[in-house]
Amino acid sequence: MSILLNAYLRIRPAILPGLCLALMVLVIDLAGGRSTDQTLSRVLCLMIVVVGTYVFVGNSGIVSFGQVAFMAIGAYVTAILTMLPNVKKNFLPDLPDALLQMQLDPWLATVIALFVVAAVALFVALPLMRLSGLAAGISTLALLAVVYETISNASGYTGGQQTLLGVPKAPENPVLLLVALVALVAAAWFQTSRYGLMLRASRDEPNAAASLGVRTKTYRIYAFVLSAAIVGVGGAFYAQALRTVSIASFYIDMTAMTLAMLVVGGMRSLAGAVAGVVVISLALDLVRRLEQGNLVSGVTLPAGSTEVLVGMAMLAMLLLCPAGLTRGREFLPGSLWPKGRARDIETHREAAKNDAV
Amino acid sequence: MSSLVQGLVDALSIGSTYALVALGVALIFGIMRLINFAYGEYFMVAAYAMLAFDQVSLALSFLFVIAAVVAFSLLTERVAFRPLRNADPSTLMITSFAVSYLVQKVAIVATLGEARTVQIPESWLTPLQFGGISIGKLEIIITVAALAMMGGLNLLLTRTALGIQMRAAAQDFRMARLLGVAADRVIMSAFAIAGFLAAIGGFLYVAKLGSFTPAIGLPILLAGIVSTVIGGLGSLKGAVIGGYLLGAIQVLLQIILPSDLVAFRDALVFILVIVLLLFKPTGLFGSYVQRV
Repeated sequence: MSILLNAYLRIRPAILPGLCLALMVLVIDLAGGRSTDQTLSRVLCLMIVVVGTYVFVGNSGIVSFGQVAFMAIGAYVTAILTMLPNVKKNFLPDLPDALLQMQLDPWLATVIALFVVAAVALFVALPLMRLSGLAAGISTLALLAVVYETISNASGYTGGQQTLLGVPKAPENPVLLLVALVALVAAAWFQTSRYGLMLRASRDEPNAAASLGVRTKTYRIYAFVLSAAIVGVGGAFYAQALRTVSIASFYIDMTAMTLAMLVVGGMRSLAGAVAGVVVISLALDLVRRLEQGNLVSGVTLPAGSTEVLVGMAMLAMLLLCPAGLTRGREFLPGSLWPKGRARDIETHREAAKNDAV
Repeated sequence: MSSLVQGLVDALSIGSTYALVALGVALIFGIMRLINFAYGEYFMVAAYAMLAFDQVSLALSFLFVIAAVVAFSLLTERVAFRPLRNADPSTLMITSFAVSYLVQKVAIVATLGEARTVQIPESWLTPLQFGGISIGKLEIIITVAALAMMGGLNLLLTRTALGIQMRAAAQDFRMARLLGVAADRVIMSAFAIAGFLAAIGGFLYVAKLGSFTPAIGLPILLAGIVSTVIGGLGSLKGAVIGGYLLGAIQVLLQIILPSDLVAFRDALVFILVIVLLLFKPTGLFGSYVQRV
């Protein structure tokens, strides 16, 4: 019994957001036609990516601009492992023969992608997490640039700037939903683990946590690797959902979109990550339809409006309510609207600052 | 010999551009703890401002670029950064990222993302001859201009009341305020100076490129922040040295790398930077120490 109770408490932050997500996805999946079907699979992949990004950003408090690099690696590993051999010969002539002939089951490829991404992330995290939080945040942008430059120039191995075609189709949306739920549970499990709790303590009060023996840098590495692994899986499914892979889709635009989702929902809670993806995706879908001009007759937004909307949403939320829609609170069963009142950590800090002055 | 001198001049001129960017980033960071990701967009504004008086009058164009970029810099401060002045550095950083992204995307919608070209005087392009060695004139102009700006900034920071107030604010903002330093004045001066640096740097950078798209800011910004990280966050001296170091490494790699690897030059540079940070996590002259 106590094991069950313990497990319940550990995944508690994921339960309500997960249920809401499942309900919405199943309703849309049943009601929607083929075009919504595709949009929905993309959104579910983004959900995995954003939840993965949250695992690092939310728990450590370090803004990472580089998680999309792991999405790219996950997508490319999957593509290389699952495309038809004769298609690969065309696009990726420099691959070693063994890889050229290989055509794996998409699920197996996804698992391999997970481990490849985790290994890369560990290798990168060892030096990066030695930096102070701010410098680490900036350096992740350099990481994104490194991965982007490398993939887009290694054309013999990755197809360079071309779009790779012929990635096998992703699983049906209910299955993708299940994967997203697993990601949610993993994120909740980590943030309620002792490492997660210590990392959050170091995020809110770095000096106090360090003086109590919290090994901040080590736990940042754990969070970074877990985050990258989840993001990598998101990338693997993203490639399968689109059935194509192109490096252009894994750069600043994607980074801005995933960060905007985190910011709008509130990057310090899992509920915030989920809410952000849902809100931004709905808004983007609306704008995209207006862009194509087939929603309201006579109204056609110029191309590029979706990106402008992403930027505006992010900026407006930061200026008006930097803690996001959820204000950094979790959405927990048992207390339908959190009782945390207004005196959360930010206001405490504010109060402390005012006292000091 | 000729290629060696040419390489040296290239490294100096690229390094000068980077040093100017890094100085602008470091100046704002010192006072506000803001890593200004929107700084690349100051260069973009400079580029589009050059179109206004293109082929009319160089002096007029130059003045207009300065006015436009300084105004844009102050505008970003007023609209985006002032409301968040007391927020933590990560929130400020992500806000500047949002500003950068939004401005760039608006520029893309407005211009359809097409490349634009600017005309610069023919005489700037004819290389100078020094006993058989030819050196680009524009490279020399860039280097001299950058050095002059650094000298001027140094004088401003050490010899004027405003400069001394700015340095005090960079050291301990609250203490400086208690001693009567006007916060708004100091911060707006920092943004104005950073805008001025970006205007000059951008004008010369675009003159050298000849054409640009709305995405012009990103590589410049990356170079600038990498320079400040190499030099150490918060150190102006570090920013300048980081900028020249980055320029030198880039030119060196360009020369020594075999031709099929040159495409990976920038990736290699970033990896080198990460290796440097492995040994010196605070950068070469890091004074900004975050305890954890």
